[in-house]
Amino acid sequence: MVAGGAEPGAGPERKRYVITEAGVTEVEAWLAEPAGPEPHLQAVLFTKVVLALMLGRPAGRYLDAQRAVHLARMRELTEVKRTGGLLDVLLADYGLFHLEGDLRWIDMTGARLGALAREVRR
Amino acid sequence: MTAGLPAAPPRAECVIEAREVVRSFGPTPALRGASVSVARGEILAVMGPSGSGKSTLLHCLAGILVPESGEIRFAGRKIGTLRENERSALRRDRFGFVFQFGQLVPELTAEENVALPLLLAGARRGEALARARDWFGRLGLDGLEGHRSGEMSGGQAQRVALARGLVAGPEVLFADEPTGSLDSLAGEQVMNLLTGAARDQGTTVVVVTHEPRVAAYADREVIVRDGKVTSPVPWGAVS
Repeated sequence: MVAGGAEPGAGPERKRYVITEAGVTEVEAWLAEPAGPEPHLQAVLFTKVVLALMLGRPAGRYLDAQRAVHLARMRELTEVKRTGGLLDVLLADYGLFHLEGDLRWIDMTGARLGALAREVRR
Repeated sequence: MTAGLPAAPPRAECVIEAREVVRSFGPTPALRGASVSVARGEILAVMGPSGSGKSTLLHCLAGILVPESGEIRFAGRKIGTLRENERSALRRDRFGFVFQFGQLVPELTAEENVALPLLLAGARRGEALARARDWFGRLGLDGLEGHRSGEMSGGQAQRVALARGLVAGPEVLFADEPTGSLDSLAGEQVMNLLTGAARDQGTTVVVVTHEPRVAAYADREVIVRDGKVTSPVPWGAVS
């Protein structure tokens, strides 16, 4: 990016910037490179569930509480979709699908709590 | 309200309620003391794993199944003690239904399918069809009035089923996995239309779903697990 000329406006003069050829090449390379799939290993939730089971605490209730918080956030994002423009919809969808992935993990873990408890207490 | 019932929003009038409902299929228990109350105008999502009893709960609330014990109240009146023809009239006149697969009558056109609840309630054919047609523009179905179910996409057929569920202005709409057979985009359209139309009409909705994205359209969710209803647990309440 290099500075170009100044541009008069209603307020103070604005400096214009122009992307260089090297910058164009870099942006194109960045766009073409697939982002690494982030594993989202649920470290905090995973740790809470395992510790709760080890300590004999109600892991199922922790998962239920987490499910409620996730669903509340999904409700907010659904409202964003209902009232926003297409870009808002796209962004909200990204969040919704990730939250839904978390909820699947929560449901699967909830269904396995009995076996998990036996495993961690061995 | 009975202690232990998942609460409806405060100050709202309870329109439909299950109290300690027990229902089995042969030796297999489906509901083991399920309780829930739904406020007038509320959209409630009933979630839970497969086989948890959520569809059985919906069928009991809607008067399709009769509980073995416990009670269902609609507008303060017990419906489990009604005779079959009385429950049938209740379902026809005050409730609407949308199922996973639209269950349109294949021999009828889309507009005849939508008009069906009105015709069954005794409306004249011309009047019923005119009221049915009003829904086609509202649900983005213009031009499909004369189509039969085999000539429509899954999403279109489900919107026709939704129009049929709402055309008679039901007090409660029961929806059982209404987007279960649709892709994400068609499912989103159906849920936007379902919740939008229900809120416009002040219709109470009970929607059974295993999909969090569908539940997110509701005002509140309850979870059915092992035949019982649990409410979400707020943070800080776990001990």
